[in-house]
Order: sequence, then structure tokens, then C-alpha cells
Amino acid sequence: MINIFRSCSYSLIGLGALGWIGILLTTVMFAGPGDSALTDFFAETIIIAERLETFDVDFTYVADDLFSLMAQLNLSLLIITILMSLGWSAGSHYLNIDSPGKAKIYFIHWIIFTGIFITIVLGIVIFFTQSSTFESAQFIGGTGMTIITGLSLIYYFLMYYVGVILGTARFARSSVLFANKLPGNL
Amino acid sequence: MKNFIVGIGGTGAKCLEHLLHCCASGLGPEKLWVGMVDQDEANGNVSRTKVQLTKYMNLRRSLRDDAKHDLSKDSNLFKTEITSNPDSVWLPLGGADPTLEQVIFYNNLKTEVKNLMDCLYDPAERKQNLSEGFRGKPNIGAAAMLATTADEKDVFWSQIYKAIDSARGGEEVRVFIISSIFGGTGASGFANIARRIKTIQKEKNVTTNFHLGGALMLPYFTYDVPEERKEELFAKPEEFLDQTKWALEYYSKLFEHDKIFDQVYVTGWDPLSKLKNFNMGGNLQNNPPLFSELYASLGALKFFASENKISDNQEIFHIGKNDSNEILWSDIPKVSNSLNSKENIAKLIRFAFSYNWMYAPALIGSWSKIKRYQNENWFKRLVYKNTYNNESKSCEVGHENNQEVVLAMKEYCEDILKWISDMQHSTVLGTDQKMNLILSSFFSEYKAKSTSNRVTIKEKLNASEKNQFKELVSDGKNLKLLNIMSNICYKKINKEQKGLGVFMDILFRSCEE
Repeated sequence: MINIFRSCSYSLIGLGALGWIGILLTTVMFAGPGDSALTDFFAETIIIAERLETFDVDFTYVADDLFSLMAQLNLSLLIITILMSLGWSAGSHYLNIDSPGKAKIYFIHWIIFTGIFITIVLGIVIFFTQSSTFESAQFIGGTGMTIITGLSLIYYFLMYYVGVILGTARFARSSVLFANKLPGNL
Repeated sequence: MKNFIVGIGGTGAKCLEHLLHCCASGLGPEKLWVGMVDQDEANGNVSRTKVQLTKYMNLRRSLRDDAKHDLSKDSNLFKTEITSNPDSVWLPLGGADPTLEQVIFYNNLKTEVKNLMDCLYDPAERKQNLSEGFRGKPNIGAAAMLATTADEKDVFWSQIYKAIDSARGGEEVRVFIISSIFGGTGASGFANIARRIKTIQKEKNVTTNFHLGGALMLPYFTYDVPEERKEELFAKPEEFLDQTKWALEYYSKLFEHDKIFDQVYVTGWDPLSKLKNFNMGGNLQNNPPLFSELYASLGALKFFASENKISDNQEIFHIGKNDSNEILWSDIPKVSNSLNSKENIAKLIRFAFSYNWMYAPALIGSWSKIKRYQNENWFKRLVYKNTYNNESKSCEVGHENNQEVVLAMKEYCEDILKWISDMQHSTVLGTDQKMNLILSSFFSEYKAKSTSNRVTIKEKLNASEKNQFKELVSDGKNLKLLNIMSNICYKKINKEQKGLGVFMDILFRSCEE
């Protein structure tokens, strides 16, 4: 059990290395829109100005809701990334890696697990940006959708990967892509 | 503190075999000199211990080398620095095929002394060839032993003299003797050698710092003698109890009048273990290790333990197992408060198994074979880094000198597994007792009647057999191979450790919860 805690500790360090950006952004978004570059970015890139004109509203009308949407989206993605990363780091201790060379055969398990993670991330992004839960979602354009989906996938996958790679660096490293390239002391 | 142990006769040698394995598990003192006394030089029991002693000393030397492989001082694996004479066995009677007549110069004796000898020994006993021991006749052994001299120049006795000199110099010295009370060499040697040591101590006027301990094995095994050999001269099991009775009466009187031993450990076994392979001496007398011998060796280790405070009174200890017919881990006593025999022995058994079947196969061979593991953490951290040569820029685990250590450890691990399996089967064979300290059936085969290879262990195990590792030691810990792999990945490396010593110690430490 102590080794599982160690794995999770290493994983948390990895998650923290990238996760602080997500936490900061989410906090800023929960605080609401202000006179900032982020607000400008949302107004100019994520939202379709034409659609706002159609409904005869300006960006300030949807800004609060859009920030709330993005904050909750990021919070959900942060939670799922942390859970999945810690889950693999802890769960890999239950894989039957009982002899030299055996961890490699669990690579396929990791690929499937990672596939599930990516699917969940995509599902969360689609839920927040395509459903009617948030009114502002209807103003997000194709470019905005692509940016949100792409950035979310890249950022949260990277965060998950760093968490997983550090969490399994000692024990199940051969089951994780490129983890074998890490130095032995990790 | 200097420690010396002498195993007398076949039983003494067998007890030393247990002691060596206990020392490998970390139960022994820091330093120990080991010697054996047996007139039957080719005796299978003695030879086996001699080989084991050499293996222990060589492997320990390889793994405690500051320059190459170092387990470090803190490691319990092969903790005890064991030394011995170049020939670890002392033959009381030298020369080719000596007889009692030759030893006591019978033909040169005065008539009245000759007549006395005729009363004590019949012609067959006087003319018996003693090159295969004293054949269960302590009266012959005692006379023969007394006829030898405890010469300071003799390689065996010089160690005793040195020990007593060290005590006179202020260093604490402990000497321990193990033998059987029945049989020939042991029964005749125990008291004689102890009294000689005491005499030297008195001659050297050493009154403090020197302690003498002993373990006496009461009858604990028996065997069937074939009808056609009943007339021959050898140790007869039906005489064991009578011999023991007389010997105990003798010791009772001896201990009453003279304090020879500081501590005596007395062990026996009831019902007697039944040996299937009768041989009266020589290399074919290769008896199995038995549980009661483990008690004697643990008694010796208790005597050597620094926590053992020796009082001025002569102390006699005895030990018993639980009342049921089952021999349990809880029947194995602690060596001291800080040395838990059960835990150390269980750890050694798990280490032997996991090294022999899981890790040694990955480390044996040339680099082209071994390199497939080079990116795994355990290998990178524990083996690769520590066998990497900065000059040749390569990992040298596959080099001949490293392979010697890897293979020697594998051989030692096989010996440990054979020892514990043999002891478990042979102790209860033919009795209604049960001994389930380990589950050995899935990795070994036991042939009771075989002399040289009673236990054979499988070369390879399949997945389901490997999976039975969790039931290997019946101590309720349920440690799996998976846990061991996980442990070796996380255990901290001691800064003093070097070479293959790093991996060996971490694997050993990983074999406990």
C-alpha cells in the first residue's frame, strides 16, 4: 500500500507541474469577465459576432455565462484528468507485474485506458459546448469549438501523461509510452 | 566480541548447516569462526556442511567487497563474517586407517594395562578401522580423543588458544560446541573437547571474558538397520536411549562438581524422525536436515547474541514445540528481542525463490540477452547503474566476474530451497506429525530413499506455479511476487552499497511486508 501512495505522490507532482495553469485559468473564469486579454480572446475568437448581431445582443450579455461555462468545463476536465491519472498510477500496482519484462504486456491496457480518458475529455467538451445547459454555448462558433476542443485535448492529455509517466516511473513504466526513457532514479 | 563454534560428529556438522542458513538470513553475530570435528572425514553430512561453508564464505566475500560488490554493513544478507581453517574439519586421529590399538600403542603397553584395555574393549573394537568414525561407540571415541594432544601448533587447537588469549587481552570470547549425546564422535567429543578447553583456560589463568556454551542433541532420529548388517560395528538406534541415559547421568554428575559450560542447550525430538537411507559412515551417510537441529543452531545463535547476558551460574535451557502434532512457524524461537528467527528465515526463503526463478534468469547470460531489461526501472536503478563501466561506457553485468556472483547466488538459493524442503519432509516422514512451514510440492520433488538428491527442484516454473508463491511460506503474510517487484522498485539504496550488492540487498529487503 505504501508503494501505491508513493506512486500517487509522484503522479500528483507531475499533475501539479502543468495543472497549476488550469487551476489558475479556472479561478479567473469563476471570477467572471473583466477588462482582460482573456475576455478579448473569448469575444474575438470563440464567439461568432454575427450570431450575436442576429439576436441583437452584445458580448457583455453572454460574457458571464460564457465564463461560467468555461470555468465549469475546465473544472470538470481538471477533476477527470486528476482522477484518471491517479487511477492509473494506483491501479497499475494491481496489474500482475511479478517478473522482469512483464510490464510491457500491459501497454495495451494503458492504451485502452488512455483511449477511454480521451473519449471522456471529448464527451465533456461536447456536453458543455453543444448542449443547451449554457445559453452562451449557442454563440460558440466552429473556430471557437475547434480551439476549445483542441486546446482541452492537448492540455489535459499532456497533464494526464506527465502525471501517469511520473506515477508509473518506478514500477509499471514499461506499460506507458516512452516512460522507459526516463532515468532510473525517478 | 569473538565467537567460535565447533560442530562435533555428523550431528554437529548438520547443525552447522542450519546455522549457516540462519547466518545468511541475518540471525548470526558479526563474526564467527566455524570448525568441525569428525574422524569420519568423508562423512556425507560433514562434506555437505563443508561445501556449504565454502559457498557461504566465498559468496559473502564476493558480496562484501568495497571495490566491487558491496551489500553494505547494514545489510542483513550474509551478515555474519564466517571464517574457518583451510580445512574446516579436524581429524582427532591422523594417519591412514588408524585403529584403537595403534592409537593407544596397545602392543607396547605393560601387561597389566593391556589387561585393563582388554576388559574395556573387545578385540573387534580394538582392531576396528576408525577412518570412518567411532561407529556409535563413545567408549572408543573417548579413548581415541584422549590419546590425541591439544597442541597449540595444531591448526584446530591453535584457534582455541587464540580465543583464550583474546579473552585474556580483555576481549569477550564465546565458544560453542554442538554434538549429539548418542552415537560415537559427538558423544565422545563433547565432554572431552569442552574439558580440554577448560583446562587450557585454567592453564592460561583466564577467569573472565571467556564463555563456553554447548548444545546437546538427545535422540531425535532413528533408522532401520538391514538384517544382514546387524552384526557390524556401528551406531545402533536401539542403543540410543540407553546411551543417552548413561550420558545424561554422567553429565549430571560432571555439571554438579565442575562448571564447564556457562550455558547448555538441550534438544531432542519425540517421536523420532525416521530416516529412510541407512548408511553406517563414509560419503553415503548423508542424512537429511531435521527440525530439532535448527533448534540447536538457534541455541548457538542465542548464545552469541549480544543481548544474551551470561550469568555466573551454569544455565541449562531446553525448548519444546507446541503440544499438537503440527510443527508451526510459532515453534521457532527468537534469537533475541531484536532478531526474529521466523521473520528472517521466511524472508530468506522468499528471497531464494524469487531470485532463483524470477530475477536470476533475467541476469544470467551475455549483455545481448540481458539488455532487453535495460529500460525497466529495477534493472536501470539497481543493476545497470551499478555495473556500468565508465571507461568502456558499457554495462558489465554480463561479464564473467559479475556472472560468477549471479550464478553463485543462484546456487546458494537452490541450496536454501532444498534445505527447507528436505527438512520439512524428512522431519515428519513415517510419523504422524505434520510440518507445513512452506508449500514445497509445486517447485520440488522429494525422494526419501535417495542419498545424494533427496530433493530436486524444478528448473523452470509455469505461470500457475509462480502464482503459488503467495502460499510458499505459511506465515499468513500472503506476500506475492507482484509485491516483491513493487518493493524492489521503491526500496531506498544505501549509499555504501556497490555493484550487484545493491540489487541483492534490495531484493532481500523486498521479501518482507
